[in-house]
Amino acid sequence: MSMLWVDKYRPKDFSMLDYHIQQSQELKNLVEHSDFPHLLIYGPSGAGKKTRIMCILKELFGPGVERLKMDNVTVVTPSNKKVEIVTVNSNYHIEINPSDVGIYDRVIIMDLIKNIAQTQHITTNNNTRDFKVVVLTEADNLTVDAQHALRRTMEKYSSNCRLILCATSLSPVIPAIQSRCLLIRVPAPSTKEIATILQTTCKKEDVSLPLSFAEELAKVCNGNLRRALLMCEACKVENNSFQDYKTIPQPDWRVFITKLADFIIQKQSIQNIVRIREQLYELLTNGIPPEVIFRNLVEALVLKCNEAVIPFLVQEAAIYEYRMTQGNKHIIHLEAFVIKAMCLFRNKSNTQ
Amino acid sequence: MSQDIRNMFARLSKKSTKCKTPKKDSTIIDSDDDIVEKTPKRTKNVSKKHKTNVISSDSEEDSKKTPKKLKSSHSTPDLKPLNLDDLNKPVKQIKPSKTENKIDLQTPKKEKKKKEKNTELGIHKNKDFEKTLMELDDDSNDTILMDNIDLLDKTLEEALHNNSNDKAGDNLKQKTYISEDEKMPKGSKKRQRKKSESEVTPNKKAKLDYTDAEVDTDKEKWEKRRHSAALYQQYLHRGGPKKHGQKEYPKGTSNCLSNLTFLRTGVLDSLESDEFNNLVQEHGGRIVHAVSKKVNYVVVGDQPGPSKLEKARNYNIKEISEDEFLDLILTKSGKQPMYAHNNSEDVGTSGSVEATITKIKEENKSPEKSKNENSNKEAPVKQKESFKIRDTKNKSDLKQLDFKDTNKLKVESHSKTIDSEGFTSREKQNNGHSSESKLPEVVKIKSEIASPIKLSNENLSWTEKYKPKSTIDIIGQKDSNSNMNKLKKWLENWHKNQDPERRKKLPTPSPFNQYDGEWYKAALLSGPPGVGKTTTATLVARELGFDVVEFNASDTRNKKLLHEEISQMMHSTTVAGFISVEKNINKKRILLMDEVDGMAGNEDRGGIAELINFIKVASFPIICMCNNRDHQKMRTLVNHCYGLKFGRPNIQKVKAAMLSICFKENIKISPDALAQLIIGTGGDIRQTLNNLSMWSVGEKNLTSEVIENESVNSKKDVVYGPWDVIKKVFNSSENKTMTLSEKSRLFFYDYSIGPLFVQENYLQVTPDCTGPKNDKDREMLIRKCLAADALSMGDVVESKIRSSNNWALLESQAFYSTVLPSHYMSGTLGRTNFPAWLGKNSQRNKSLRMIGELYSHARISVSGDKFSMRLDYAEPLRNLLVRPMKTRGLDGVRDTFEALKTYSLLKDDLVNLCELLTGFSNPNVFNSIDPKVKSALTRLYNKEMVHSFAPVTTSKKKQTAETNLYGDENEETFSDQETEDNINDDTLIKVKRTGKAAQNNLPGTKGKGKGKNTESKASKGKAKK
Repeated sequence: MSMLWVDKYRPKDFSMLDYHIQQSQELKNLVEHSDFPHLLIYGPSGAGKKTRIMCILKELFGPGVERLKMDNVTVVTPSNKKVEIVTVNSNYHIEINPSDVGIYDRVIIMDLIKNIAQTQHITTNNNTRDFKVVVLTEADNLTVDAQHALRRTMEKYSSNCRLILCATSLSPVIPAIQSRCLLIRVPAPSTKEIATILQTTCKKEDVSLPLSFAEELAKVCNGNLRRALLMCEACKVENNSFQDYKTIPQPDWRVFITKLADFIIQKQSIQNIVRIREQLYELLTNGIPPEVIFRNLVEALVLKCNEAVIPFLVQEAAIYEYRMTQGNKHIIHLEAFVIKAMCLFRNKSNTQ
Repeated sequence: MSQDIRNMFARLSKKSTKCKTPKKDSTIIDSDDDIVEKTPKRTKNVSKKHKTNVISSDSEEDSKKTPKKLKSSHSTPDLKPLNLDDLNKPVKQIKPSKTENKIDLQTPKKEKKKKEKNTELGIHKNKDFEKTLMELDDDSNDTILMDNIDLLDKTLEEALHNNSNDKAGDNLKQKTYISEDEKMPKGSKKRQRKKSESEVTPNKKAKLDYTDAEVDTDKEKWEKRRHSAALYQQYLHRGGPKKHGQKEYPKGTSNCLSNLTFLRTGVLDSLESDEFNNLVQEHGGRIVHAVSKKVNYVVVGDQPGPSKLEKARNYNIKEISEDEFLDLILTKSGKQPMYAHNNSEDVGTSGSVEATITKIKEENKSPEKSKNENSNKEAPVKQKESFKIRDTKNKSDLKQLDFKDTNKLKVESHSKTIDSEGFTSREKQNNGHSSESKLPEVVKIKSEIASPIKLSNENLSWTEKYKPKSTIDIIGQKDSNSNMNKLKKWLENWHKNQDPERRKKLPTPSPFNQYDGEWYKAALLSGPPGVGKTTTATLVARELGFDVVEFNASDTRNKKLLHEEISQMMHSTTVAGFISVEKNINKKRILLMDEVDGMAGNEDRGGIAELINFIKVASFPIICMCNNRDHQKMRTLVNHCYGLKFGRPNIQKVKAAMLSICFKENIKISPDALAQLIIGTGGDIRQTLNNLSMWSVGEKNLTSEVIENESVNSKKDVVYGPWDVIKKVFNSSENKTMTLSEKSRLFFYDYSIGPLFVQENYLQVTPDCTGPKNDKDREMLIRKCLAADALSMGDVVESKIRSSNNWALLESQAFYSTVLPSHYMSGTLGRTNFPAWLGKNSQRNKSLRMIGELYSHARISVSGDKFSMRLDYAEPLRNLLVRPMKTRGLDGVRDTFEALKTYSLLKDDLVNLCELLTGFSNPNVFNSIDPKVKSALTRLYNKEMVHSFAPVTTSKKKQTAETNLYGDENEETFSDQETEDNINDDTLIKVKRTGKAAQNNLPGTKGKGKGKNTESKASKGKAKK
């Protein structure tokens, strides 16, 4: 099996989890009672939310949940538009990412989930519980309409259906949904935890990973275990041992953004803006999410710019990021921020 | 003296019976006598009321009556035609006559009496009443006082007040003596009437007549009054011109009457006073209203004012009739007189006014006779009419009679005056007033009825008024190869060309060479509005003698209706020929389909198709007209029509035509201004004319400044494309003068793409910096920053608009996205770029879609969301897949394949993944792989890959893990063989593989393991060959 380490060594049940031991014990206890509420699991990306959801499902239904298959479901919207969505399901649960279909997520919620929730599960063996589980990933990307559609379904069919929502941020989830769920926060693992995990993983792969490098990696990954593992593997693949490495190879887009930040700080001129616009476009067309661009750009700028400017810079960044979420065309706001930053730097250099 | 009068009556009565001149318009009542005659035959009702007045006068001045009559008879010859206008404003004229009359009386007396009168006035507060009183008392000495007062330039009213003193008492008498009326002799009746009539007319008028008379007795005064009253009544009721509109205006040179001054008196034969004035002024003459030595001609009409005539005669001014006047115009402009001759016949038959007037001069008494005759004849008829009827009829009669039958009217007016004598004096006053007030109304009605033709001509809009009357007049169509002439030629030869024999020989036209359209059965005139398409078509058709049947947008022109109407038309003849004088029935018809581009919508469904069918079989020419022949709707029609494109006419030509119209309408406009106006309307002649006619109402003198302002308003709205808009937004030369609203209007030309243009190009602008020069860069940066900030807000607003359909926010967006950037960045715009966002956005969508596919395929084995797939997974995954192939070549293919399988990815996903990671100037790793290796992978993939899911692109069927495993095992054996076999012939394999891949993709649902097996076998076979 040629698999990436992340996927290869992913924990399959509660006993295999490496961190947040206390929390996983509680979850295990919760699941052992047949009756458990709707769950809303949230936390930063790479913290292990999905892993924990799978653990819960396995605890509930046994190894049968690991036999997954994918399904294409077509739903017809009221305006007669056919919407297709891919579901991942086992015999016991179904996993849907409604935000795949954008603004039609409400139809998915209304039709698909309702259908699933309405039908009773026919039990064939003793192990199974008498309810099905619907996993909604990226619940924070649900539109407000869809969330409202979900409210009633959650209450009405709670007898034969449980929902597990997975979200990175709690704030976009409407309070009505929050109050119907048991909120479980999965915090990012600490650098130490990440380092140990990296080391144990490497041991399994028969590679020796120096602790210093593991910690270095963990620091760079910013609490994202997935990224840490992937990078770790990438380093290993590049040249079989970790000894030669002085610096950790960054993903190309991050390197690109850092360069861009340098560019801004170096020279504030109109020609520069034109070039930066091109670069921003390149980032966007490569599928880098604008929020990520923004965040990384600001981070890179903050690292390098004059300290006195930082508060203003962050303030402006907040303003434009907010506008970007409100608006349609990301480039406009990114560009506006860049020019604003240039102005700030220029003013600073002038006063000095 | 009294005898004389009786004799006269006798004579008149005799004549009246014999008189054969039937309905002479007795206009001027020179003497009282003619009226007197009517009275004897009055019914009692009428006479009763007269007597009230008479009594008063009788009681006081019985003795005076006889002398009065004498005088009146004497005075008649001296009477001069009074201009009735003068009667209305007599204050000044009064003075001389009255003073002459009674100057001998003493002034002190006057004053005394004044006071007395005033006191008495207090008793009778009603002014009318007072007036009547005073008038009744004219004979008394008090008149002297009154006259003197007049001398002192007092107003008429004051004079009246003064007079009224003595009459209060008289009034009482009137009432008491009513019963005695019937017994009154004829003479008294006459007197009564005189009084009553004089009451109506202010005293003064009569006096003119007496300027010469030295002996003035009270009776004379009575006579004068009565006379003037009659005149006034006549004036009130006199009719309009008898033959209004029947005479042609003479066409004289424009200043043939220069230096000549005209005075008109009386009602002319065919000209209204306005028309007369216009006519004189047109020919350079001058009009005056009062007689003076400067007057060259007095044009005398029906019922001329006696005083004017008198005066004119004193000054030896030449008196001419209307016809003579018209002839004068002709002779002065060097043409043959033509009116007088015609008119002389009229005199004989209908006895025109002028004739009578001229007679007046020669023999003074003849008019009297004629009038008497008239009155004698008609009075009896009128007398029978009851009092009421006449009163109620008054108005309506006036309207009718005025216009046509002046004779009747006069009789009516006479009888009315007579009747009114029967009223109390007060009532008479009222009557006088009311009839006065009616006068304008009557005149108005007259003008309405009398001149329908003239009115309609004035009401025409200029576009109709100056419509070309013949093909030669059409602006810009004079060239021999102009559209008009082409059309003419085509139409002329139409019937000849449509002969089947001949038509065969004609060259089949192409869109580029239509051979003068000989082949076509229909013509299509196209061009912008207002250049004369319809005019050309109708005029050409008319000049060639076609009967025109027109359908335009106001007719419903759907398939059915067109079919009915046109087929009817094809099988019928027109009645136009019957109506016209020539009685020739015109077989030539033409169908005008105006505004064919308006044939649209449900109403006219199928209309154009039907029209084309008709064109194919038409037996008569068809002319279609449209604005835009390139329009989608016109596509089919264009192929069946001889295309004539009307361009915008040359400005110079339009200008020349407009200038001539301006001259006709008396508008002064500078040629430059006119040219500007024409440019403003884009050569639209119709609109130019409309604009001109609108402004002509305001001011007749149009300078180019005014036009410049106005032409801004009259400019047709032009829609700018985004490329023009962006220049206006940023170029300071273009937007310097713009107001805010104009700037925001720029946004609305196309608000979907406009903001994108602004966003794309604001960086290219070099703004006009206002700050210090050394800090120019910084200022520019700040300006850009502000602009970018505004754009950012604009985007937020736009998002709100689109998501919540709140289109009211567009104004705000206009400010953020266009006005503010324009304000900050106004300067010089460099090269304009098309918004890159559109392309970039679709690129971005593409990569997002690829990520999405990748994610959905790998979803089973991968945790995390879409973005982590891109940000974190993508690169390691790619490395995992590509590295084995890259490092180990063919040996690595198996590893890669396994990796694909574990992540359940398609081969396309691998390609996509590599493509996705080519950004940031990275090379595409997939391309660097040896093609052999790639092809090996493809073969392996095609043979062995069975997915645990049905990829979205191929099918919806799912496959379980079990079947998957099973299939794998089966196929592995084949694949091993194949790879060994076919390593060498790459090219051949490639071809097959693509074919197989296609097969695999299309019918992929067929069978699972089985299908794959057959395919792989087939490929094997081919490879072996």
